[in-house]
Amino acid sequence: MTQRVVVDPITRIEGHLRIEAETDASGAIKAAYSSGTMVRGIEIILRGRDPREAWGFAQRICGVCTLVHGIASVRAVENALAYEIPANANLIRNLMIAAQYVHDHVMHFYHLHALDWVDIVSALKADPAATSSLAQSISGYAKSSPGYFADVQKRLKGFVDGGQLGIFAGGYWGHPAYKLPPEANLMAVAHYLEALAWQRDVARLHAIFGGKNPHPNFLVGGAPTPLSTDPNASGGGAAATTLNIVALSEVRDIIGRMTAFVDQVYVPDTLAIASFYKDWFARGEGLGNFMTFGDFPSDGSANPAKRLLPAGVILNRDLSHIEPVDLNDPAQVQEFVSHSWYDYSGGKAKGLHPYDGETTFAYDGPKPPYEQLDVDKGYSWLKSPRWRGKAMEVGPLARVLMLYASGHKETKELADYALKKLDAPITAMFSTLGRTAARTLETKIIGDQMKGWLDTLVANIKAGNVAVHNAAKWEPSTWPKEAKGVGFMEAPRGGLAHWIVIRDGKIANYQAVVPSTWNAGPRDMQGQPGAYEAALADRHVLANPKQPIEIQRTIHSFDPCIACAVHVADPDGNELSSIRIV
Amino acid sequence: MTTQALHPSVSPQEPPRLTGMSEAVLAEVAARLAEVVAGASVPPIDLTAMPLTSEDRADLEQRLGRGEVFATVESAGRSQIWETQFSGVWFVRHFGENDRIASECIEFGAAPEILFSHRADMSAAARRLAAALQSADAREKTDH
Amino acid sequence: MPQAPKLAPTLGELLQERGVSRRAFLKYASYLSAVMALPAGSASALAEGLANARRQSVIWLSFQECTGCTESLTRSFSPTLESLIFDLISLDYHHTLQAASGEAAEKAREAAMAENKGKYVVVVDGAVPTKDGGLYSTIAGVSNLDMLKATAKDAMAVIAVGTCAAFGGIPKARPNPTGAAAIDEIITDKPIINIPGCPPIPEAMAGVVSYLVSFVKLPELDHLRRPKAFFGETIHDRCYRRPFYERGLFAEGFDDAGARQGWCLYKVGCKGPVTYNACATLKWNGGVSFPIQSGHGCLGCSEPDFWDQGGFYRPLSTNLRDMGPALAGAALAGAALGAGAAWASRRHQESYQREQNPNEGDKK
Ligand code: SF4
Ligand code: SF4
Repeated sequence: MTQRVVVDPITRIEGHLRIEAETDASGAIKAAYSSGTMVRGIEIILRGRDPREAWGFAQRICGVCTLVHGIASVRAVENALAYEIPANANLIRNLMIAAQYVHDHVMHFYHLHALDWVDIVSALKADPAATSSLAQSISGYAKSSPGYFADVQKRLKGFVDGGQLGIFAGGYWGHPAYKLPPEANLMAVAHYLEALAWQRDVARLHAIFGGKNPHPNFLVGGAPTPLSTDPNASGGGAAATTLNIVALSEVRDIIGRMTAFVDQVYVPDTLAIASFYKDWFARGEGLGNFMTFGDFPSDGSANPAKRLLPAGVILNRDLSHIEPVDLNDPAQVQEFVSHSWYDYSGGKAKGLHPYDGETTFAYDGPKPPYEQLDVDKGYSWLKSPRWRGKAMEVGPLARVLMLYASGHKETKELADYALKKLDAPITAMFSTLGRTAARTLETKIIGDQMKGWLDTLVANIKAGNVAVHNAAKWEPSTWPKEAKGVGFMEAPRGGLAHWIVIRDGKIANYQAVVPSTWNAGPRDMQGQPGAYEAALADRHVLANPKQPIEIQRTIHSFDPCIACAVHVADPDGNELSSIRIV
Repeated sequence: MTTQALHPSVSPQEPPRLTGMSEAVLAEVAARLAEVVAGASVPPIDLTAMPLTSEDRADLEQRLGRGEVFATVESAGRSQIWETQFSGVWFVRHFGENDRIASECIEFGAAPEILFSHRADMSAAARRLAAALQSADAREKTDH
Repeated sequence: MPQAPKLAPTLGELLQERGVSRRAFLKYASYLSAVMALPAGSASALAEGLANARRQSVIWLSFQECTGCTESLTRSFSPTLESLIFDLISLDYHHTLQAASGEAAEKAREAAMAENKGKYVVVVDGAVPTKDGGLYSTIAGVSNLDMLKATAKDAMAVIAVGTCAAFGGIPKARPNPTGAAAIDEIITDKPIINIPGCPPIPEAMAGVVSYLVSFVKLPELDHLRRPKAFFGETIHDRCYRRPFYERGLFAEGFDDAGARQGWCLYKVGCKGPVTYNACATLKWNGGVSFPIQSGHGCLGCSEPDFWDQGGFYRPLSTNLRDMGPALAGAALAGAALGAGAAWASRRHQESYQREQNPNEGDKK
């Protein structure tokens, strides 16, 4: 007997995601379908505008990974115009991107993912003294006294006794899939709260360079934050004018507090929690194909060899071989719409490279309100991007594997250390829990680079190099009549690229193919599932179809960002009259 | 540029340090204090939201000076309260997370309200104290 | 006063349990009345209101949005998100934060609506697509349009956070492919507060919610339903670069000598003079900076249709020197009126004492 389990909304993610899963009599998932249920059409909106302000629009694709679309967008314009930017601007961007990683990953772990593994209600039964010993046994983090945990527990108790559970209402508390002892649950609750306070501090780094967070400001041709060698020019407060050594020391302090939390809380917590859920190292793999685009020019130059994160493709788990990636090659990157609510002028069967990308809204799903999607037709606002016809997973796991496969020393050491602690082989990484662990590992790897980038920036300033913006190509009158380019980056959720076509100083075409489209997209023409769909079909048995915590675990291990994935809509085909309501 | 001529006293190259705002605030303090003396209750002056340079702030703080009372309140973060050298004019500074100044204002009157104990806290304290005495009593008895 | 059933403890009782005194309320209340420029004595009234309130049931609906508004709320320093959602309100439905998914999540929303009928507050981020029956955004198979109408029906008030919910925002930007609409274009029979910004300043969102919990009425609103306390003045009115503007000292590029000296960004497109918001006073991320301080002009993100106002980098064409008396400018010119002017310009706030009918919010 097949049963259809529908989870909509999937919560604790960015955006609107629906999962439908077919299970057999034992509750095992046989097939899963991932559907993005919201569309805005930001690419239609971008058409005809000034390319220099595209970043602001693109950035609003997502407010969680708030800077990634801004960065990809300014890089796309710069790539199209062969617009070089000062090394300082690249270093500032590195710092901002890295802060985004650390911020996003920690918040994902504690605020979006943790409740899949941590039973809040069980924490009430914990002994604060035993929690304190547990915490002290895994980390030197200062806040670990019995009194501290007793306070947290008291707060939680007041909350639960008050009868208004708020965000914790309706959770699957007491579900047999929760395996942590009460003390580990209490420790995690405490760190849930600590991480909320900590992340506010991290976001300040963005505000220093970008004026605010979420949605800091960017600038085509560099960075908008002028630097000064005059220590009196700034320093925060009402008299602040430009960024100087004093303000940069605040950045240094923030980096210190960021990395300390990662080392003392996030890494040990991940290892501690994972040790209770080792069975999740054996399911949720999915595709086995991984792709990265590369990022972080470590010296501020445009030289790809200097990038911290390399680009490439790993196929069928084969870590001994890395294929090169060329985003400009029409044979490599294509988007399909066979199961998406779009049409192509050349027919739904074709794949299109983003420079020629088109997307006509063509909804053929059920009329809302509906109970179930018809997965033989279109069933998502996401397209299905493919690399040489193959479905790919992007994200932390892809990056850690790529760093590992390309022999990055720190990654090898860190991954081997973690795997040894968990008594797991490297193949354990190909799993739900492996994905979650990879996110933690790369947070440390990337966070640890930040001090070096800041040192380089400060050394430049001290040497009198304060340039942050190249004004040479700012005026559209200096641009060629037509230009096209691609801007790419490694966003926290995976490889991200924006393609732009500029004509007469205006945007003629704009296409973004984003990490969650690679991961969350529907089946393609051949019926090949996307990464979520494949991962869910890998050894998931639902203990209770009414409480599908297993689905949550694997979906959250990807850290979905669905507003990102479904932003597309065609510049050419905004023919809304073509909508078919079935 | 014509606009520069409007303010010939300020060198166009110098970023402003003392903008005159501290002067303006002091004048306002004087006006409100006079109202208080006349028996009115007047709102605090919120400094957090004013376009003061750090030089303006220092100037203001220095000219108001310190009077006889200085208090620290530890409740949801730290607060510092002091009477300025002008009786009835109080400086109230609240700190938020990570010891950053969350708000800063000048209050007027006999004492800022945050210094007073609240009835609800007093009755809770009375209950607590009674309970503590009782259990001390009980311990004493079992000890004998 | 809205009361949860089963007479839940008041906020004052809850915090007393944890050994937190009333001073904590007073401290927050004085901060809030300072930033909202409430008249004398309102801090203690606000504190009393908070202490005697019960955790307000809040249902947060996310539609055509980017989650930036929620992210922004997590950056609130006073009060923090933790104290907001664990101490002040009961956040009964919120996709990004809630534990439950799918059916259990929808049940939590329905339960909160039933238990707090007529008393819960609905917060919305994101616009609502109205074209083609609203099929461009669904949750649990239900269109946003239907979910908004059903959820707002028994609400006490609706707060539209972010420019998307307040004015349509980016989904509504030309050519508005999905027929995106603002909340008050759809809900017309409920008190509505708009807190625009892309995203809004977190302290403004938290402040308005606290005000509502404490006084159970709407703060004074402007003609766009924005609380005057946060949207009563332009960025330009309170910009620390204003003295440079007054002296005609403008950055001509982003990294020229003027830019490095922090001169006015008017010529590189700053929209501060026509943007009503509190960035220049409250600033962002615990006061560390705000867009102009970090060198980029204001985008005007709290104004309707700011995406379609002719370009971020095009200088405003208005003759700004005629825009009325300016606080910083007046002080600079030696007129010792600064604080007094600030106070007077906010005196309208005293009207908050008038008995207010929440339905009276100014119409657009
Ligand atoms: S107002 Fe801005 S931050 Fe808020 S949802 Fe809309 S685009 Fe995102
Ligand atoms: S134009 Fe902009 S930068 Fe200049 S004073 Fe006004 S708000 Fe400030």
